[in-house]
Amino acid sequence: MHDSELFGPRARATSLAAVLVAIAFICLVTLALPHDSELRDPGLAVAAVALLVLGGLVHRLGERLDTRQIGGVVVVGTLLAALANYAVGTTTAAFGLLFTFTALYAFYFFDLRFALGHLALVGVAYAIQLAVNPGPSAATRFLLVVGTPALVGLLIARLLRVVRAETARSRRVLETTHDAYAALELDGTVVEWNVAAEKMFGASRAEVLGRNFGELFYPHEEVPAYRERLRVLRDADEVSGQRFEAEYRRPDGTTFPAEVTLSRVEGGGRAILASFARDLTDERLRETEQAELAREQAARREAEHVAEMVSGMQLLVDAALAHTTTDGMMNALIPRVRAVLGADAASVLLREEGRDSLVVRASTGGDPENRRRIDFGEYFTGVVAAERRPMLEQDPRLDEVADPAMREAGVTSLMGVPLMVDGELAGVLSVGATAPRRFTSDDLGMLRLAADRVALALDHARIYEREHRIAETLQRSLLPEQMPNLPGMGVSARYVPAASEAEVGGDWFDVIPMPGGRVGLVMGDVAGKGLSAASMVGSLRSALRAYVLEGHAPAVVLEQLNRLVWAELEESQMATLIYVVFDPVEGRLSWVNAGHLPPLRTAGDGAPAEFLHGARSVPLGVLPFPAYEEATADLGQGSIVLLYTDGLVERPGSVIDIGLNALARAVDEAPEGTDALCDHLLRELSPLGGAADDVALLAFCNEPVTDRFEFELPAQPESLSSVRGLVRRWLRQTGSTEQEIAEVTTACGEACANAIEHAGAGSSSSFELEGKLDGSGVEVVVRDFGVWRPERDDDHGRGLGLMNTLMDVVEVTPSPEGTVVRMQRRLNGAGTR
Amino acid sequence: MTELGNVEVREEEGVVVAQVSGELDLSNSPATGKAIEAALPASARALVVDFTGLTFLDSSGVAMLFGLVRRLGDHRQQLHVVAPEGEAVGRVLEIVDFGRAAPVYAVLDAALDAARGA
Repeated sequence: MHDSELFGPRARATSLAAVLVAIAFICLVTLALPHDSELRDPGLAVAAVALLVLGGLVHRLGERLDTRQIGGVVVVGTLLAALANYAVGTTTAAFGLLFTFTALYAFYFFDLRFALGHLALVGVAYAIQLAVNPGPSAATRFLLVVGTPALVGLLIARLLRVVRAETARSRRVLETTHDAYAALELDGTVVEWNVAAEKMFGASRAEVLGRNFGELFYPHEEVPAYRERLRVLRDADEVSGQRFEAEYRRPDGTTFPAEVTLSRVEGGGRAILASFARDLTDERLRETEQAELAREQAARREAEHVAEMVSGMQLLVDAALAHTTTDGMMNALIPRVRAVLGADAASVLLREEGRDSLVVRASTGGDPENRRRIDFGEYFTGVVAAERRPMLEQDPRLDEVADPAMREAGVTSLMGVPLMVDGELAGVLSVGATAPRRFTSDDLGMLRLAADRVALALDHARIYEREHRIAETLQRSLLPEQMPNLPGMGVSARYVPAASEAEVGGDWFDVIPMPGGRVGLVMGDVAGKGLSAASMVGSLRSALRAYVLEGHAPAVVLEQLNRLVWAELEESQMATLIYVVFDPVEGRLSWVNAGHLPPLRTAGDGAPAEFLHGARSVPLGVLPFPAYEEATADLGQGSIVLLYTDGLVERPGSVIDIGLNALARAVDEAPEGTDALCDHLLRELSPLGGAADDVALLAFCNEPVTDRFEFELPAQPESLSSVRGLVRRWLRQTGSTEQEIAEVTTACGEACANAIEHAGAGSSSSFELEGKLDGSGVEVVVRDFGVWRPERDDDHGRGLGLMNTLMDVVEVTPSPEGTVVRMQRRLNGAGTR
Repeated sequence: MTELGNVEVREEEGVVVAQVSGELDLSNSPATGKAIEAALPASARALVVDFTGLTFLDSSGVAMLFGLVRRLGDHRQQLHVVAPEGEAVGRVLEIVDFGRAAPVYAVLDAALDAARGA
């Protein structure tokens, strides 16, 4: 703060104007008073008017005049005063005033050089005055003695008023500020204390004035530090200040933090300390609140992060559990591992069975078909596998260790964790990130957790797959690979396992050729899935075959099966089954139904298909001694019977009747033939994306009899009864007599028995039987591919003898490739067709 | 035994009666013959093979019968066969002229009388 501005430019201008006007008044008073003739009236008047105008101008412009302009006015005013003095012709009171003004004004408002210059100017002017003019007159002397002190007194009074007003304004500013203001002596004695300070420090102005600030408001132990601070300010040469925070103690003992600006202020030749203090209590509170808020936010972020990880883990576990096959699980897990870790790439490499190498099993971004092989110790993942420990690698070392695929992907941060199952290395889980993401040891820990779950899921999936594979293989092995070639009937079957993820079901079917050309057909469903169901199917199948071949009637077969199931099946297990015996010779069906869905029979002549509802009884394993009844029905030529399992007709959320109706409709629309029927049904009734349950289908028909037939049969004695059934059925349509039929049948049997003997015991080869009807008779040809045996004994001779007796023509043509027997016979009834 | 053919053996006053039903062909004739032999005690004087319930017989069944004739001859036992006339089985036996080896009767009672009388 500059001295000349202590009271402001307004006070400066006002006082200058007052001096100029005062000199003008002196001039006017001099003119008005009686005066000597040598008085130069016109000059005095001009000076007076000029001074008045100048004084008025300065008063009006006031604080707008800068220091340079004020200086100019001072010089001009002094010269005008000198001019007036000259006009008066004698020394006047004006110079006294000018000298006083200089002392009061110039020294006070301006710097020393300006004041001295002004003093010199006035002095020179006064000296010239004294030299030019004679001594003062009586009036002048009176004025000098009385007027000058009066004017100076008036001037001072005026100045003081201005100064007081400005001081009061300054104080008001200090009083209205919220900051506490205290003016201190250099030793800390309080000399000024504003209202805010009274409030803040809890001490009134009266209480603190004249007392030492440090002793009043600092705790004892901190007073020496306070004194040191004052000493520094006291010793400082010039204006200096400090800004610091302090903890003050109020007289009532409470404390508060404050930010303090302590400045050394030079004023009026005396230095004081101006202290402004701002209460920091609220701010500290806010800061504390903000800190708490920040802590809370950090805690929340941490909690969210943990929650995210936990839910990420949950996602991993869910994904692992939702998929029962290794591939399905991996493909679901990998994107989630990537998401949980914020990685750009993730892959699972599985160990090749019994080898020290890995194969990429699933990865994001990459081609899943590209099953790259990585040897142990090769690249990053190979090293993880070889050392069986989690590893984390970052750029720039990455170029040395990462495999080319990772480098191409721009990965700059890489983690890998071994997947351990039962202490054995099963594979490696690895993730990569591109800049700026860099994995940390925390991330590695997370990946280890993920790997634990992947390994667990892997273990489960492998166990599941092994069991699924065994069950599927077992079930497949239990289903007939190929339908037997059965004379007089067509048989087709289909088995469609449930869509990949589900377990193998207990659907099964069987076709059992029986002596006499009859055929047993079975369709069953064991409740439950997987290995236990498959093994139960195995038991049922063997038992049923045994009971059937023992020659029991259908109802008895089922009673025996029920006894087995009742004894062997675990509780709550049961099995449905339908057992049908078809006699192609008679065109008759007989069946027993143990809780299974009813067979469907087509009419063969375009009429709608109908369900065979008869002979229904409880499933196997439900009652210890259920009554199984047998039902019978005709099966005309061309008619088809369809056996099936619930997978074909049951749909979630829909009544089974709807499925059965749909089945009947689909059967009516199906093209002819059992094969075409099965294909049509699977196409029409299978839900998109695969069935939820297994589907088994078995269709057989009573093949229409034609003029010609051709069969290939196994070269086994058991085929003979089928041959007889076929021939009888074939000849019956000709209207031949029973004796004719019996004789041709016997002859055919002998020819086929020869063919079977030529093939040798236990042979897996076959022979062919061909029949032709014409208007008058029948021709039968039997071809074998064995070695012709000349007749060595009576037994064989009897066979050929029978043929010769029973048939009109018998030709035997042996060759190295086999033997052909051609037989012909006239039929009395044949001509009637 | 399969359902194709069935055999029941009983003994009446030193005469063993084997009732064979169903059909006899290459697949079951040898086994049927063995079953009858096994059921025939050495003390029995005669064996009656009753084909009344048999619907089919081929050369293997005939061979089985001839085999029985030889075994029984070794033990001085007699074989009597029952086969209804005009049926398929009787016709086969007729064609192969089985009557030369052992007597064939149309009804069981006749065969039993002959056997007891022997």
